[in-house]
Amino acid sequence: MKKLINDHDAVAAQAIEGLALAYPQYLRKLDGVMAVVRRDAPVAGKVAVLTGGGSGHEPMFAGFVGRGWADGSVAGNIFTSPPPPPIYEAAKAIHGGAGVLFLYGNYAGDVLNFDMAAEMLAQEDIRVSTVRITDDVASAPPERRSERRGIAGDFFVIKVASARAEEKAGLNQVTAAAEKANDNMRSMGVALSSCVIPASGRPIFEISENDMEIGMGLHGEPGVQRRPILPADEVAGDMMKRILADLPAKGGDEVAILVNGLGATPLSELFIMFRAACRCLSDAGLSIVRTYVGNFAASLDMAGCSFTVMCLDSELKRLLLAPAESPAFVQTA
Amino acid sequence: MPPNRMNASDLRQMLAYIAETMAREEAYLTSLDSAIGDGDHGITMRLGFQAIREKVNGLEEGAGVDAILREAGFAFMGATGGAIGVLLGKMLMAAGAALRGKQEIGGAELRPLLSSMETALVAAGKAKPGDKTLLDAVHAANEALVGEVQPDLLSALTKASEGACRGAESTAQMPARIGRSSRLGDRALGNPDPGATSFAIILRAMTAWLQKQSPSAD
Repeated sequence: MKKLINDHDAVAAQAIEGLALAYPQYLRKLDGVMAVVRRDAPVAGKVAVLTGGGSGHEPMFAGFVGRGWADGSVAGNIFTSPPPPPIYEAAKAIHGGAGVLFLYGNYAGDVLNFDMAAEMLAQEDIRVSTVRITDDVASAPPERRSERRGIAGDFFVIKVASARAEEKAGLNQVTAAAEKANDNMRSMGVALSSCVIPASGRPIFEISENDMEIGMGLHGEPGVQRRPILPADEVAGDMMKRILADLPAKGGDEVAILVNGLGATPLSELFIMFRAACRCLSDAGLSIVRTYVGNFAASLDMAGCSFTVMCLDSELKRLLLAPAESPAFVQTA
Repeated sequence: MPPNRMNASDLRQMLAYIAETMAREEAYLTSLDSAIGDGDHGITMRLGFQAIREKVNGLEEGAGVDAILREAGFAFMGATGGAIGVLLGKMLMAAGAALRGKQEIGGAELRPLLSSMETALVAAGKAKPGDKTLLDAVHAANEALVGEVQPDLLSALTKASEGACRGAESTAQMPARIGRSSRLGDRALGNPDPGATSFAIILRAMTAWLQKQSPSAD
């Protein structure tokens, strides 16, 4: 597999270095650790939002650091959660005296490492609260929703929580906003191909040229069904059916939708998928307030996409639509 | 006959030998992890033990076996990330704590050392034997030493290593119930757990290193 890299062990480090060089107007890199923080961090009196996780999902997570977005992001190696020391360093660098909210996808490795960093910070009397993102309906049944993994829904939770922090709300209120966003959204993905980890140079799983896998996770975790590929409208219909069956929505509700590319799917296909999703939402009596289409949480060079639908109340709507700027996403009022 | 005790200098060399072994096993571990995980386990283990080797090389001359293992734990945890980073890091730190005040590791020290690692792992990882995790190898290594009274180091290490290998192999027949591979359930059947396999490789490398040593002066 051909890759534009220098040293396969340095991919994550050089990628975040490049990101920081490209976007000094939003963020800066911390010396000696794979973490970026808002250019003006720490912001005094504001709750600091810290996100992060394994690399390979670019622009998630570091691409969502900036004003109105997260205050900092910590990167691990490819598909591996960051270790405690850089999490601790980044939290210290962004802490503005009002506590730190950890936001990350619910994976065992992330939980262990972020919890360990939280213990280290507690010893220095820095308040930390944690919300683990659990939007992927394919990863566990509704009665075990807290065990679900986080996929592209990170985007909505980080946006909403960061906007609440920007309003100078306290740590409990910012945490509550993050929880509300997480409780009100559901995601489902489809993978058409595997992806190649630079260090091994091989695909992380096999999938035949004609097959797709509904519900596959961001690191190739198996989904709910593997079957021959269908036309986009049918694939989108199947994914949307599974999301709507799980989403706490009723006819007349307002929603936001994210159509997320996994890295190797052209935007044209994402728009074709959105076109179909749009029809499903309208058939369910839901009205779309805002749509986001693009590569937000990739799986290296995997082909495929995911849908994330979030039900909006007035608070979530206000926070989602609040202005924000970061390398991966700028939104004006 | 290999030496019956290991001092701090032996421990440093042994950790370096494990690091070399891990680098050799990278592709194998990665292939196991590709079958049921995301394919990065071999890389993580190589980088983690590389960090241990560098950290241990830089420790002052007088560092005892307890300090070496504790620092190895910090180094592993700080360099890797992932669940294995915190789990194996805490296990190494616990092993260091179990050896507090000791100058050497002999057969009698191996049991408390391995059992402290199991206790640390259970506390941090919340797994149970049979969940198809690292714990299955660690638990089996401890079980293999039950009833051993004052064993010599090589025979104790050999028994523990054989136990760990059996434990790791047994995970192939288990469905995954915890961690990322748990999403696979029965689809993980037939593949051994990469973390358990790594632990077996560590104990096997320790045994192999000890076997290669010339008899000690005493």
